[in-house]
Formats: sequence, structure tokens, C-alpha cells
Amino acid sequence: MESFLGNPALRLLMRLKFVGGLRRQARRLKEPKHWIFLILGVLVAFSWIASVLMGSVLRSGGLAPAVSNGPGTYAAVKVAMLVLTILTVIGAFSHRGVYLPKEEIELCFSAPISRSDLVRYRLVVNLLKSLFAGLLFGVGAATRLSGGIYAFVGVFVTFLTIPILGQAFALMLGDTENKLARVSRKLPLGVVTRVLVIVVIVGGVLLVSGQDFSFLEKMLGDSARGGFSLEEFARRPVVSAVLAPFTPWARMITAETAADFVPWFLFALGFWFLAFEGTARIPVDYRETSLSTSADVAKRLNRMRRGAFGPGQGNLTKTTLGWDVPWIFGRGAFGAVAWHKTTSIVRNSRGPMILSAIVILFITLLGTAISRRGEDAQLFMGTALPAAMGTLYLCAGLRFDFRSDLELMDRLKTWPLRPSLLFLAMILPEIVLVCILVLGSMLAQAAWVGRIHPGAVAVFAIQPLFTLTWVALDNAVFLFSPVRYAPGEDGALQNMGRAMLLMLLRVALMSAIALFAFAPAWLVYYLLTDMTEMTPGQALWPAGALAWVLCAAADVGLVVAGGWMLRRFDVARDKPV
Amino acid sequence: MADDRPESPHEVPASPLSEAISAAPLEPRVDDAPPRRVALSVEGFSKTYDEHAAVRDLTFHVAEGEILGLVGANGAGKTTTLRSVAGILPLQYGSVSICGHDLVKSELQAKKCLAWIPDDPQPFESLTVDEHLRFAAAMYGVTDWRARADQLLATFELTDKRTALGGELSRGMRQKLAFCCAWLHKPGVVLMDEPLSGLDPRGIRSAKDAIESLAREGSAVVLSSHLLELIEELADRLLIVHKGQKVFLGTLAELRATFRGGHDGSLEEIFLAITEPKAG
Repeated sequence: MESFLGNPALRLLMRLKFVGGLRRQARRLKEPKHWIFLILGVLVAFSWIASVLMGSVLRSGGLAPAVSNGPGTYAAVKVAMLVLTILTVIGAFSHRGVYLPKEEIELCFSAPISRSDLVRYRLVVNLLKSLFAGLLFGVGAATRLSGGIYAFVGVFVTFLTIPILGQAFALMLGDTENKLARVSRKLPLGVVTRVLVIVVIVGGVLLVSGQDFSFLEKMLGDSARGGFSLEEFARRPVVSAVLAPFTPWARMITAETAADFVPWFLFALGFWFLAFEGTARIPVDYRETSLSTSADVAKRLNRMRRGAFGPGQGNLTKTTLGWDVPWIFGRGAFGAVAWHKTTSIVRNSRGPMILSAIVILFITLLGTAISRRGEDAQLFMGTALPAAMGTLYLCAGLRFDFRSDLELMDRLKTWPLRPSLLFLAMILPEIVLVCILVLGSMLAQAAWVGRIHPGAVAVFAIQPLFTLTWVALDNAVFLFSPVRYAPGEDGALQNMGRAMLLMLLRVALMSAIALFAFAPAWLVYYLLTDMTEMTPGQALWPAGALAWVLCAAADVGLVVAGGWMLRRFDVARDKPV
Repeated sequence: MADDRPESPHEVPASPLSEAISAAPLEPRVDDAPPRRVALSVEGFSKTYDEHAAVRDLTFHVAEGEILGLVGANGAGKTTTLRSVAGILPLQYGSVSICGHDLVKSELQAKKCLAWIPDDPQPFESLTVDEHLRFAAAMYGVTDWRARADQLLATFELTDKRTALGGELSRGMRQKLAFCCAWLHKPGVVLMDEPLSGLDPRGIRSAKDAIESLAREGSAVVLSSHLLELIEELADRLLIVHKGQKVFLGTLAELRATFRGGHDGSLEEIFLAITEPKAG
């Protein structure tokens, strides 16, 4: 029986999952540490929301600004809606058909539940997920637009409408894909897609500009002078036509009186009901595309859990599979572990590697531009600044470490190597990679400029140690609390609290190491310059050497600590999350 | 090769099956039984992925109370067949009838009569065992489900796990929970893909007993497994598929007669001989 309310069993499932989610949270809170994480997470989230709202209120000078919503605001709302719709439609490309999680998809497809009811169920789930965003943006809009409550309700209704359009688009896209699949096998689809994208972009630009590009120059010029008018832009015939469908919602959001608001609100509500039911009744068999979407999302979630730029991010290709990876760390057990890790990086991480190479190229160009100004200080800055930026970016971005190998921990623990050596072997390939990229960039820059600052030697000496400190510390702390979180999973607030605590721990430990290495060096420098006849330049070398030795000692300590964390890791207790 | 076509769309003659069963070392469950209705009928089923034919022109029927063992190497098309019959994958070519309902024309009626047990059941992480059963009962419209749920939980030794969350269950317990949920509505057709993987010896014994008792209650069971001893022990008939095509359909005795000239031989030996890659 088709009904707007959907299948009763799926309504029951929603209820049970909601109660189950609360119960899981409650069960987690049996340990005090989870309470601490939760409280911290709530504080972080609350401060973020409060800062957004307060910022909004302060900028507008009150809860509901007295200034009337002008045509500029009206145009801005329309453009914002267009952007939101485009983002939703783009999102539909990665959720073709109806997305159902792995535990639901086969169960629901083999059960006596109509496909329309399944779509209704997913729509309701998506709408519930949009509630928070709707409320947040609604309150934000209420503080910035003169309509107050009308802006709030308007934005809220809009936020609950756009996901329906996204789902409708995902269904139709899946259907088109199914139909095209039969024909597409015989077509060079890759070439066709690229040509289409270029045609759409060029066509769009030509249409908007009325076939000349002067508008871009004007827009950029105006924008730089602060004279760009969104209202004027929205009045262009083509832009105006594109924005026209959003008129009722823009009117509703920018309404200032009940008489202005009610008709558009009723229209938006009616549209919402029609869109909801119309989407549920789109006659499409989405099973195959949904199965593939569900598998894709599961893979993506797994990749996200392994870290943003880990080796698991890329796919093995025939080209990378054919690459021979040398045993650069020796032939023993240590070398074998490091080779295993290097192979995984080389064969599995084409995307992150290309991205890193682009960033490093950009940084090299930046450094060269600074160095070429000629003065000594600028030459040093041109070397040191990109080296620091490159190291920080790569250390934070590339995650070829324990995060991506948590599933292998039970195997890894059986390998015949001391834990500290095993720890070092696992992180060494990443450290070497970062050093090669950054030091290579410095050398390339020196060759380009034609000279090098003597201080760059210090940068060369300290950069590998700093990289080792960062990566070893990061991994030791991760092994201490091996939790990987992917967006959308349970316990977001607790994870936020935990992440904040771990970040503070990392900062505290890094500061302690810096103090351990540089405080005695500073003392030596002070004594040498104060009590002997050494010049500051001469005193810098022994002090720097001492700092280097102490930093190296701290790194040895970190590797030992990492080994201890590895030994402490219990594959039964610390199972991958 | 045996012809399994029934004389009428929903009836199979008892005699060939009975004869075969009495000749084979199986329980002669239906010796004197009246002609049984066909519960599951698959006609000319084919499925292609891109240009690769996963299953080609597969036809078979399973009668009420019968257990059909589906056997084949990895990639032979067993799971694709079961998932298509279960309505998880769209039916590309051919027709499927479940308890007399066409899977395409009367999809919901057909699925009401069906139960699907995948090889790796995924329970809801935040729902308890009891809540899984409650949801299964709601899906299949079973109103008086509590007593049967208790009985199933006891059969599969899950009674003391009622309040355990899906995310806390071991692989074997997840499998047992899937059995309980699937059998709650007394399905006419049960499709099982590697149902015993992950079960301990006691769990395997319970599952075997439960499958047999399900068949005794009149359900048609299609059992896909690589455990050939299990198939030999439980199945009334065998369907062997190789590279997406039906290689054999009939009883174990007929299989021996066809491939061994009536001589003894285990299913494993015969299966390996049939599916052996040809030299050159």
C-alpha cells in the first residue's frame, strides 16, 4: 500500500535506530574518559556555533537588523540557493540511485518493501540529517535579514527542500546511467565526457558574458575596487533566467511582512509535498546503481578512516603495479618492513603524491621569487620559509603511517623485529619521502637562483630531525589512542573532544622536546658570547650543534616510546574503529 | 542430464525424486508424499555484467520441502543467481516465480514468501537482537511473532544475547541472528549463500537441523555452499553450475550414474572432475 507516510516497518526501523543510537551513546558513557571527551566535544561545538551566531549578530548590529532587505540581499539569496543546488546536484553524482548503508541494502531489497517506500524512507533520513543545518543557517539568516522569523522559517524550509531535489536527481542520473550503459560500452565515453565538460564550461562563460569576456575583467576590477554589484550581475538576462526558478524561496526568505511571506511560504510547502511524493514515485529501478553506490560509499568511508592522504586513498593501477621498488633500507627484517611500506606508498598513492609534488613545486617557485630579490636576509628567507612550509604541509598531509595499517596490526606484531625498530621501519619511508621532496626543492631553488645562503646548511641539518620528531610523535600518540573517525559515524562530539585532547597532548610534547633541545643550546650560546670572546656568529655553531645532538637524542627517545606504544597496542582491545 | 521440468507449472512428479532419494544416502523424506507444488521456479535466467555473461540460460525448479544444493567454483554465478532470485539484483533475462508469484509482476507478494541469508550478514550495529527480530516481524507482517522468535533464539542459542547489540556480535552469532530473522515469517522459499561460514561445530549442527526442519515444514531451500559434505548430507538434489552455465541438475545418484557410470564416488571427486580446467 502506497502512502505518504511510507512503510510502517521502515518507520519502526527509524525509531529503533534513533533509540539504538542514544543507547550506544549511553553505553559509551560508562567510562569517565568518555564523559570528558563528550563534555569537551560539546564545548568545542557550542563555542563554534556561538562564534558563528555572535559574529553574525555583531556584524549586523542586532538580532534583526532594522535596515530593509534590498535587491542586493534578494539577489544574494538567489545566488546562494543556486550554489547550494549545484553542490547538491554534484553530490548526487556520487550517490546515484538510492544510497542505503551496507546493513540495509540487501535486507531491504529482498524484503517485501516497495521501491517507492524505500525512497520515502531515505528522503526522511536525509531530511532529518538536514534539520541541524536548517536550524543553524535559519538562525544565521534571522540575525542578518530584516524579516527575522520569516527568514528563519524560509531558510529552514529551503534546507528541507534541496535534499529532495538532490535525491530526485540521483535517481534520474542512475536511470540514465543504466540506459546509457547498454550503448556506452561501444562509445569512447572518457573522450566524450571531457569534450562535454569543456563545451559546458566555455558555453556557460560565453552565455553569461554575452559572448565577450570583458565582464570577467570588469568583475575582477570592480571586486578589487569594492564596486562589484551582485544585483547588477543577477540582472544579466542569462543569469536572471538561471536564477528565476529560485524566486519563490528568495521571496519567502527575504519577506518582511506576513502578507509578503505567507503566499510564498504556502507555495514552498506545496512544492515540498509534491517534490517529496513525486521523487518517491519516479518509476526507476535503482537497485543496481544503489548497490554500486553503497559499495563506493563503504570504500570511501574506509579510506577516510585510514587518513586523508594515506596509501589507501589511491587505486592500484596496472602502471603502478609494474613499478619495481628498490630495497633502500637493507635486506634484513628492518629493510623488509620498510620496503613493504615503501611499496605501498609507491603503488597505492598516486593521487597524494601528485598533489604533494604540485604543492612542493608551488613552494619552490615561491622560495625562488623571494630569494631572487637579492639581499642576504631574503635569500635565507627564500630557503627557510618554503622548507618550513613544505615540511609542515607534507608531515600533516601525507599519512603513510600506522593509520593506514591498523588492520594489519595482528600480522605486524608477529614480525621478528624489536618494537622500536619496527616502529622506525614503519615511519621511515614517509620521513625519507618528505625529506627528499623538501631538500630536493631547496636544492632546485639554489640551482635556479645560482647561490645559497650559508644558513641553509642549518636548515638542511635540522629538517630531517624535525620531520622525524613530528612523524614519530604523531604516530606514538596515535598508537596511544588508536581511534580513526570518519564523518557521519556515531560519537561525533566525543571524537571532537578526543581529537582536541590529543592535539593538546601533541603540542605539549612538542614544546617539551623543543625546550629539552633548545634551552641548553641557548644557555651555551649565552655563556659563550658572555664569558668568552666569541662573536654571536661563532657561538651559534656550537650552540646549534648541541641543539642538534639533543634533538637527535629526543628523537631516539621518541622512537623508543613509539616502540613501547606499539608493544602496548592490544589487537583485541584496540581494534580498528 | 536430468530434465527437471514439471508437467504443470506448479507441480513436480514425485516419482523420479523419490526414486533418486531412495537410491542416494539421503533421508527418504518424501517417499510416499503426494505430488508437491513447485515453490521456486527459475526459467531461462541470464545475467551479464558489462560484456561478461555471469549466468547463461539457467532453468531450475524447487519443490516445497525440497533442499536444492547449489554448487560451483568461485565466480561460477551462484551468488549472482541467488541475489537475482532474491530480488536484490534486477532480473535481466528470464523469469522467476516464488510461491506462484512472478518476481517482476507481483514483486511484493513474491518477496513476502521469500527469505534471503547472505554469506556475511550485516546486522544493525545499534539494534539489539530482540529489536532485529521485531523489525523482521514488521517487515513481513508477522503479528504473533514472540513465541516463534523465542523458539528460534533457543534453537540457535541466542536467548541470552537478546539485549546484545548487533555491533557486539561475533561472525557466528551474526549468522545465527540472520537465520532467526529469515525464518521468523515461515518463508516458502529460503535462499542461503554459504550459510555455515563462521559457525562453530555446535552452531553448524544447529543450523543443519534447522535447515532440515525448515524443509520438513514445507519450505523450499536453495543452499549454496563450497562445503560439499554439507550439500551431500542435506540436499535432495544438486545444481552444479560452471562458468555461469548449468552442468548438472538432479540427485546425487543421478550424478553418479551420469559421470561415474553408477560407481561410488564422493560429490567432491565428481565436482572436481566436472569442473577441471581442460588442458590446452
